[in-house]
Amino acid sequence: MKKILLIKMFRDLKQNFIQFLAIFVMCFFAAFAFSGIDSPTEGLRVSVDRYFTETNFMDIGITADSFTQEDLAAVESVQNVEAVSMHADIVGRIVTKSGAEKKAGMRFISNDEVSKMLLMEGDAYEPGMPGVWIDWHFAEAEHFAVGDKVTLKYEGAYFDETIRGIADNPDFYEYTVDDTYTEPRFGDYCYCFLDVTEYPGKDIVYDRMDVSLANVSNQIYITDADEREMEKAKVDIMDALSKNNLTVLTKSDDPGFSSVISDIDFNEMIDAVIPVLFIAVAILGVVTTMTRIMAKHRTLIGALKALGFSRATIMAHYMSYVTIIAVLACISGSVVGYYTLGVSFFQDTVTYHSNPYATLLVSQGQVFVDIAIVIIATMTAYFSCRKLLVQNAADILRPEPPTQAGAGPIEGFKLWNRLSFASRWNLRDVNLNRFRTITGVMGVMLCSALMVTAFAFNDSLKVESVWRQNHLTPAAYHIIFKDGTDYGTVYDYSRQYKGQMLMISSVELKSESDQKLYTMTVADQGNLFRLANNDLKIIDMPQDSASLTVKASEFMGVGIGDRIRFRIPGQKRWYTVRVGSINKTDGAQGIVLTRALYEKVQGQFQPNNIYTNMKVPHAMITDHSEIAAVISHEDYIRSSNDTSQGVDDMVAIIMFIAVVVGVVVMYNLGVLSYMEKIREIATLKVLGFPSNHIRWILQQQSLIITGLGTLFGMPFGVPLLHLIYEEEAHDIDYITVVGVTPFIYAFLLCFVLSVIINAIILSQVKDIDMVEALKGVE
Amino acid sequence: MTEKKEVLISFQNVGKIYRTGSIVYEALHDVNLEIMDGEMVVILGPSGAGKSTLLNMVGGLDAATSGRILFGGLDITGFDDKRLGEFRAKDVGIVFQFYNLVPTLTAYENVALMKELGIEIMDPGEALELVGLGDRKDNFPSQMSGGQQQRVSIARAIAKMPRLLLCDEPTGALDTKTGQEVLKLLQLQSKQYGRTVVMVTHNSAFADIADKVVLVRDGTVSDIKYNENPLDADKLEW
Repeated sequence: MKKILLIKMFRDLKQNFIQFLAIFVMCFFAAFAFSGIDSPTEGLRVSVDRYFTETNFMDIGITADSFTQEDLAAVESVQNVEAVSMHADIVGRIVTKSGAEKKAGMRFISNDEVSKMLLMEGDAYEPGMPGVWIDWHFAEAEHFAVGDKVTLKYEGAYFDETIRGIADNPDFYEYTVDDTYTEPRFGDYCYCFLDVTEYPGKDIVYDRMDVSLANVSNQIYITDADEREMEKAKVDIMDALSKNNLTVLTKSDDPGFSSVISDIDFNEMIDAVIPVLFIAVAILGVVTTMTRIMAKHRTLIGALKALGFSRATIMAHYMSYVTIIAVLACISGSVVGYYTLGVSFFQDTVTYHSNPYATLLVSQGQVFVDIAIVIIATMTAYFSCRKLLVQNAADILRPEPPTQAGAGPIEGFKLWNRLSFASRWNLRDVNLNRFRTITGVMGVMLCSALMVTAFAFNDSLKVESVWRQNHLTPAAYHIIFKDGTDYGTVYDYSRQYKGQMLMISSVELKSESDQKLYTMTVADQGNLFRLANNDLKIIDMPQDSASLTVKASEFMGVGIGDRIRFRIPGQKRWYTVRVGSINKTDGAQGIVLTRALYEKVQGQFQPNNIYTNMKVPHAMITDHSEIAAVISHEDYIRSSNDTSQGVDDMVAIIMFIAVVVGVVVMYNLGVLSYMEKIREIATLKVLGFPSNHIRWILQQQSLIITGLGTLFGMPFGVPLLHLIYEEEAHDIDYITVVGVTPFIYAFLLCFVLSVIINAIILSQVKDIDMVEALKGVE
Repeated sequence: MTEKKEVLISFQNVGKIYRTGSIVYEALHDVNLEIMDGEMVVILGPSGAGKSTLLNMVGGLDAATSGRILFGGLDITGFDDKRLGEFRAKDVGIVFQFYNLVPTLTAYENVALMKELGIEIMDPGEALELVGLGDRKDNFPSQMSGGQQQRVSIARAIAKMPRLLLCDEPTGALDTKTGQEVLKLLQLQSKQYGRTVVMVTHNSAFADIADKVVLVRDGTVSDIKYNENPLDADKLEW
């Protein structure tokens, strides 16, 4: 570009600072949002794939009360099974250097071929090796190193081991040591690996097998063919084993794996939506600003053409305004997004997922998006300039014909003459500056929609954290029994604590269209386990039919009145029941039956949970071997609040973006409108109009634009909220509560923003230099 | 025998200094001038002489740096923003070179604008009839020629029946014939309605239609001339 034009460009940018700042901010946020979400997503995608590939994460996981060597052989003989690792998992204690005892999940292994340890320090495991390999989170938290002596405890007996390695394992990607933890707290407890020869008890009880299939080589990027292979092997394995409490899960069913896929899917969806919104507003900003600059520079452009500057040179000059702004915005947005939003999301990911390779990464998509933003902005500038620049110099130098100033057909109505002077003036101004008005309305629409989303998101979180505990399971205590606890024992506790017994277990649901693993809840008589409908109103539990959760109903394609089949994993027998209701819960998805119905269809009621309102001491867990966990109502609420902390950040981010969009759009268009009307404002002042009167006239237009924007924008907040809550997984559901308050708050906040911003802009009316403003410039 | 008129405007040692950063520009200094009620005054001078500054200060659009300006005996240099606004609204009509009509209001509405302030004005339609635009009242400024726009501007200024009509190069953007029509209208305001008309121009030919001609040069009044028999505007040639 010619040097002199470059100087001109920078001066023009300075003169139109606010308008270009608005374009910058919108492009910045488009790149910022994409980078902030994409960098952890790309990091997740690449690092988890590498992690699962290097550790040969299982294709199929099998659990049961116990496995024998014959069972192992039976699985190994299934077609396409490449390798099987059989383990014994127990939960004991580990003594820290300070002498404290912490919970420790111990896995006893005889080979390390499937779901292998990822060794981070020390010696690689070989069958028969003594010693222990402990997880890196715990080693770091408790300052354990390779070579240290460590004491483990199981069923009251202590045994010493030497730490041979610090490691990680993909089976423990989302690990909680027991049911007292509702979410992972790595470092708070330990998981470790020992050879089967180190097993502290008399007879080792294998309860888990990890299977690798020959024809499944992909990890994160599993194909339909992989899915078919895994499903086929799953069925073959189930046929080969006949076990109590047998569960066979494919990789896709694994909670850790499905959580990764779900996170990636969700982030990709957000990545596709949010930048588009900002780019849309940026485009409107570019059109508005460049059209105004073209009009302002009309004579100058004509003069440049007359002086011999080519059309391409002038075109490149004006397009470069936007290109430079967009490039700067994309670079800075991408960098800032990576280091702020990206780091924040990354922290949330590593808090709940164990992956030594976890990292933030810049994807190719980031580069494409940044280039796309620059191209879109530049092309928008091109089309805004083209109309004028294609004319010849003489035509350009001729003044532009005046634009019709009326308000259009509305002036034909009788009502028009009854409107105040200010209303008529504003309506005509709106009509005369349609594009500026549309930009303003769309900007406010985006702002108000995001505000409704943020407020409704916040309300939903508040409700979500207490709703299930207060309404569906309004019990003071929840007792969870260990697997295998017999009916009589649970029944005795239910009598002692006047509680309601429930059988909660895995279940395979089968409909005409699908077959999936869900959770079955069989409820004994009582009122501490309840159901709610889609409107979150408590409904009666059907007595002669089952109730399906919303997600199970959707995924299985089964509604009220239809029949559905189910069976306990590991059992051959299928049961058939009619669906009597659909219930909404943010808890486990699946099927709910009464004990009476379950027994009526010949099911065997094996309760493993009790809800009670009597006080249950926490010490029960240590004093009674059959009890796995005692969780109070307060524990659940506390845990939910802790979990929602991360989501609170999301609410804050959405609100921040909403306010920034609102401020940028309103301020930009407010300044633009003020600059365009400065002669009229000066004229009114000369005629003796008081400053406050003029401000009120101008405020009305802003308020109308804000009103239209909020009116049209707020309804979009609800689908946007549902989009955020959209969960691909078949076994996870959320509840959203959208009352009136998010709309009221968003409406008020938009108007407060509008009034404040316009008050700032219009404060200049008092000190306007009438002489300067009215100088003849035509 | 000429009727004795009262002083409407009095400049007393008025000075105006503009400062831009370290640059100081003295636009007016030691201006002493009296304008009588009902007088038609033409302020003449070359570009940059300070004539528009003088006009702006009478109209309360700009403030004097030193000295006093009295209007009907009241010192308007001491008025605050609100009081100056009221002064402009009630006592002063201003006609600009580039009309400064509100583009989103029709001719009628531009004239009726002052009603918004609760000021009693003549019927806007009547005001437009007076300037010969009775049939264009529903037109927007963009639908009118420069001369027609200037006539609307005059109609807006006279509709409120001000004591003082200030005109800054009112024919500057018009052709000769249209300019003459505008001058006729302005002269009529003084002769027929007894309004004080102060017109700034660089065209010395207009001096013939004034009662008083104030010559401004280098920021001060260099001479004042009187016409015993001002020429009718329609006989003016330039």
